[in-house]
Amino acid sequence: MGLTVFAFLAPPVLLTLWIRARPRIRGTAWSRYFLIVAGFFSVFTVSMGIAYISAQPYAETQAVPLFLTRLAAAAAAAGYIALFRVCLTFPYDSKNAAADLLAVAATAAVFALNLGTELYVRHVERVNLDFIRHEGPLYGAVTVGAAGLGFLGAILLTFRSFSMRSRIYQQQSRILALGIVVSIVVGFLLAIRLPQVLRIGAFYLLSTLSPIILGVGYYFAVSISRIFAWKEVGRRVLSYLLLLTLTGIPVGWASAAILRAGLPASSAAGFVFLIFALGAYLASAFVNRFLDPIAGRRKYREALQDALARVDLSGGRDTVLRQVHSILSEPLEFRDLAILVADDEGALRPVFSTFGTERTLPGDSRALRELARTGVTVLLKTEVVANRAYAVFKKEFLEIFESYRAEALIAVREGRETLGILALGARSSGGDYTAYDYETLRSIYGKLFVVLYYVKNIARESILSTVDREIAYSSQVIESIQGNVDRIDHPKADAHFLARSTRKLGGDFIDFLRLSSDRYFFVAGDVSGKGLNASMSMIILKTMIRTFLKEEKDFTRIAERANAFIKDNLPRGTFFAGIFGYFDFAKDSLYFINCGIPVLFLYSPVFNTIIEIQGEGRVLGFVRDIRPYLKLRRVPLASDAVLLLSTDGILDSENLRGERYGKERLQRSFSNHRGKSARELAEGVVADLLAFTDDRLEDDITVFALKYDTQARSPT
Amino acid sequence: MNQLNIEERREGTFTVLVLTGPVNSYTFTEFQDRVYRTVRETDTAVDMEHVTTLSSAGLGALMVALEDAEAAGKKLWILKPSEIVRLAIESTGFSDRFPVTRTLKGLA
Repeated sequence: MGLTVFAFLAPPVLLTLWIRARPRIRGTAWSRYFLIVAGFFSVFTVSMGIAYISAQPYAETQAVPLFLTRLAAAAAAAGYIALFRVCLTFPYDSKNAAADLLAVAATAAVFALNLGTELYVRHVERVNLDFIRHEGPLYGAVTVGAAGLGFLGAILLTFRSFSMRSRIYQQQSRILALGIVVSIVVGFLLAIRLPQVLRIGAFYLLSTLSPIILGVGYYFAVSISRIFAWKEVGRRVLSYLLLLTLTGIPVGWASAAILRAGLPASSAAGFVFLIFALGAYLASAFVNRFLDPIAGRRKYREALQDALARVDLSGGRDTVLRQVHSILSEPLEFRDLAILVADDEGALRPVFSTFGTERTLPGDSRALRELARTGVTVLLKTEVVANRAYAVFKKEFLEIFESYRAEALIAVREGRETLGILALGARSSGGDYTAYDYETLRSIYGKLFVVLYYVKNIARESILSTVDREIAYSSQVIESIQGNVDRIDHPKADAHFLARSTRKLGGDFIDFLRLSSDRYFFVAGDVSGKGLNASMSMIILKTMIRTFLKEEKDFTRIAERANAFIKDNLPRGTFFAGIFGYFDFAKDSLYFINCGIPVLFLYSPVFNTIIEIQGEGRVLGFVRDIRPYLKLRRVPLASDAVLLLSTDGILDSENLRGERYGKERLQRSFSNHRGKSARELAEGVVADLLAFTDDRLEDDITVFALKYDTQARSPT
Repeated sequence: MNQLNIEERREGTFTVLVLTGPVNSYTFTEFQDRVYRTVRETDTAVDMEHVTTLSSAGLGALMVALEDAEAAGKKLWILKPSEIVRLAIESTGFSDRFPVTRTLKGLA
């Protein structure tokens, strides 16, 4: 009786599948048919379950179970009729009124025949666990006819798929056909063969699982918009069958032998457990060593990531772009590539193309805006064709694909603005980009961002040709960073920062972002490295942190993602030593995470003393999992509190005698100037340093000062 | 001294790179090339007793060398770090990840 639970599984599962698929098929015939098919098969399984439960042995009149048995059969037949109708036009969303009408008529006839006559079933009863149907003359015809119609639809759809141009449509059609066939076969085996072989009639109820298989097939058929690598899927299935044979059978045999040996139950269980553990270990080792069928593909992803990480950005724009083409085209098996980069007006202009296109793409095109709105970075042509979510902009997207001979687009964005597009051409093998390729392209997005950011910002290639120009460029970068911050403007705070760069090359940066009238996010620190690379890493990191800030609610996650970005996308050996923080002036609080900032002083008016509050911190970019090391701290800000933050440039500065400036001198300087305004304090600290070093600076320096008053100051 | 001098010697199974001078923005490339090459081939010790400066670029090179050595199944020790090197390593917050030793005896 417990198996009746399976009869009630189908409705919630089918409904869930339909809800999950709905965003992709909303408003299409496939959404309606999904619901119709799911509805009929839900009626089938639930009716069957209740009929089984309510049937009694030897009772003369069993109106309810009889009616429900007939209803179940009619609903199942109607489900197959609906499926057959789907197979006639799937996956094209075209109307076919005649087919619809025929389907409705056939459904009505089946219901009339099953419910209104005794031609299908005359009487039902349950003897112990066996559910017995006294068949009418058309029992076989209804059963075989319904399943046969499903088969016929699947065969028809498979044949039709060969004439479809789009591979994604072919794939969708074959998945649906496969789902139908497997569901019928499983239903047959569970409803008829298994009860016969095992002589357990109750197993008949397991056949209610077959609609779930059908639903899963339908769901994948209408949802999947990327091409499977069928060979890989096949190889994996074969590999695991082999694995099952080589390890499963010996383990099963050994376990059976132990159980038959007559050992005490606890000993036998222990031995069996050990054998299973050994079998699992051997299987795992076997898979890793011999059977991982996609090992080659995984290597391609990692090799691609490594190769992109090694792109030499100092080689000049054209060299960099040629490298990118060479790195991407071989493993992804394409020839044509167009790279578009936004100009000052935001229009996307080709800066590299293997086929000489000069077509410019408007930066504010509806298609690009849609990608930005939905956060999509990698888009395959198959997705646009098959995913209804793109239906509104399908024409625009397909025009872009056609214009750049592309089958895959990678949209690199800086916030909401599209920084550039990589349009990857058709694969030379003739195949489509697969789901694996899609995931790979997503995994290298960060690295492509770095490259395009670099390309965009050095579009005037000659800048790189001499060291002087490198310095000039870095100067522009640093100035643009310092200019583009939301300076703290709040009645409770008098804030000021100073940043000086040696030779105008370096990785120091400080950034503020206004979150609300009372809340400001800030990040300050030093990106390791030298020259142009450090400057580039710094500006890229700054941009990414701003992006993370928009996406993340959890403050700690921003630092975590910055760590991952540095580790995965910036040149090896790059790390960030600094601080992530935000001021909440409404709560008179500073929250911060020390990521290696060397010093954060607080003058506390309560104790009339200066204390170091930065605590322990870890730089970002060294270890892969930084989360265990990130500690969010809160500092209450009292009236007349003064904060001073400095990067390592000040502390590490040396005078002509080789003496290090250090924390003690900085603290004395802070103490001497803390009574002044924030601007005078920051300038005073830097002036003291320059006096110590005889105006020499060996490293970038950044100082931030904030004077606090819990009572709002009157604007002056 | 503005130049970094790197000498190489063998000590047991270790190749010892003896650094003298600053490892800064101007000199770290030489250190980087040398240590990357060495850690992939042999157990390595970087003698940093006479290092006068260790910039972030130099620290970054040391971090990568540690990763490369681990990936290649080799050892990398920092031998007798000067005060300035010790402070630089401490500033990362990951001192425990930098294997530091005063002698190579017993480490082979």
